[in-house]
Amino acid sequence: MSGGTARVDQLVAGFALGDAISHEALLLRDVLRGLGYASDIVAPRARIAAAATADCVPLESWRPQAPNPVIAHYSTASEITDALLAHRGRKALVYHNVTPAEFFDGYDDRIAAELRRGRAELAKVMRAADAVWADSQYNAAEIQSLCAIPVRVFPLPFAPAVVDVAPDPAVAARFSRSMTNILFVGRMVPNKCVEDLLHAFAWYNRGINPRSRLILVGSNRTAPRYYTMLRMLARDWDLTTVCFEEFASPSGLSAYYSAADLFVSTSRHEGFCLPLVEAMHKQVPVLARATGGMPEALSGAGVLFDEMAPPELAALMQRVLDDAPLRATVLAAQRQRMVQILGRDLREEVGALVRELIT
Amino acid sequence: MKLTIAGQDRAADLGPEIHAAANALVTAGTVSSRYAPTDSALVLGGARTEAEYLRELIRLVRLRSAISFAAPTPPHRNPLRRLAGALRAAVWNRLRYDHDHTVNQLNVQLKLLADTIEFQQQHFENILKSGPTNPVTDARTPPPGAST
Repeated sequence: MSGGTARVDQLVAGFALGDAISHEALLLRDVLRGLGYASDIVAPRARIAAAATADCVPLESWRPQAPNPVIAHYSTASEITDALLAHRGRKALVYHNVTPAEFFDGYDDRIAAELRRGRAELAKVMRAADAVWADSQYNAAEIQSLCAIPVRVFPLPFAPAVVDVAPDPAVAARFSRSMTNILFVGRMVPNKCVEDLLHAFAWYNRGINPRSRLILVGSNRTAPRYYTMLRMLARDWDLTTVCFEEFASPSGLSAYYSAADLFVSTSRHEGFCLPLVEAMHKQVPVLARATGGMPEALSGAGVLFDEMAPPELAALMQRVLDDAPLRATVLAAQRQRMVQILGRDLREEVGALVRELIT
Repeated sequence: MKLTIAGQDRAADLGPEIHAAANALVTAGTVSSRYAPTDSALVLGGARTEAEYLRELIRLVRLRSAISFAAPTPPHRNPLRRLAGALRAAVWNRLRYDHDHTVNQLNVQLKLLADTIEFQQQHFENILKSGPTNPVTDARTPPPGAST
């Protein structure tokens, strides 16, 4: 037992396998249990994915005990806000950023309203917290003005085991290396601006390399209307080699990364972006827009771009794919970055943060 | 243009080369949408509400509710494959009657489906404008105090 406290539970707005915040909560839970704390993950019952119920306790049946601290992951308005404010023990907030609601206007009015409420309630939640951790400097800078206490940066942890599994042979067979495979992994949501990637790929595929594929891997359930727009757009440009792959299992994900020649993200809002780290770990060169937490995730590795027209991004993709010395430079920097990431002592970091929270 | 490669700012040295390569692509004019910008799927991103999105989506689906008869041109890099492609196209032109007959029927079905969606949406909008209805009989709910 560490610090004389029996239990440190975590509150999340929703819980699903493959989701970055759920993934972090699982890692933290395992570390906390390893440190001797009892620890569970708690989410509103309606927002626990059916496949993930074994790892998550419904908020409705959660009975917190006053002296025990809780860690709440904040990314939008949800029922956990009230539970957190009502909790009488110490409270730590992990700020994952709140996506600007404007991205969801028209695509999903309910989510847009939740995000607006999430922004509006942020100051109140921050004031109630005894400790605030942000998963990037970018996120910390955004909320520091709302907090009387210093915001600590706790970068989103990465567990290589998630992608270090045997590749799904069915996926591997479909995406053999006979074509150039350009990959994006992430939920199909408007802030990821996948339409920008489609547009750049259209130029690459038509003007540079017809034997190329764009593989889009990620759930389409958060914003199905946005997904519809993407599919219609691919048809408008007659792009027959865009593969909408939806949610992937760990073995599927491993196969996609193994088949990829290049990972590209044109997202315009990210708190950190874990798939960039996964791609680096799988030795795939990464191109990402220099915005949000993505420059920190890469931290001197990969290729960062901004203010590029679609044909320019297509030309950059070609350069990174075909220029062997440039590609080698990018991959070498990514390997160095992965040494930093994999060298983190998560147990030590979490232990120190929790001790600080308790005292 | 912003460009950082492996932590080094390369906008000044690599940027002009990227820009020139992009210009060459644009000059070749290889990417075009089947639709005008006002009818592109991207206009869906401009909707401010779900209702506005739905109206635009139905309009765009209406424009797209048919399968094109035009045969695509598969990309071929080497001359042998190009020749094989030409042979295949010649055979295809002799045999395509059955295909076009089927596609024509399918297009009619898709058009009817698009019409149905549009009419249903108009029906719901009319209901919303003219007040609540009885969900069972679809009759207007009489205003309070009205004799029946």
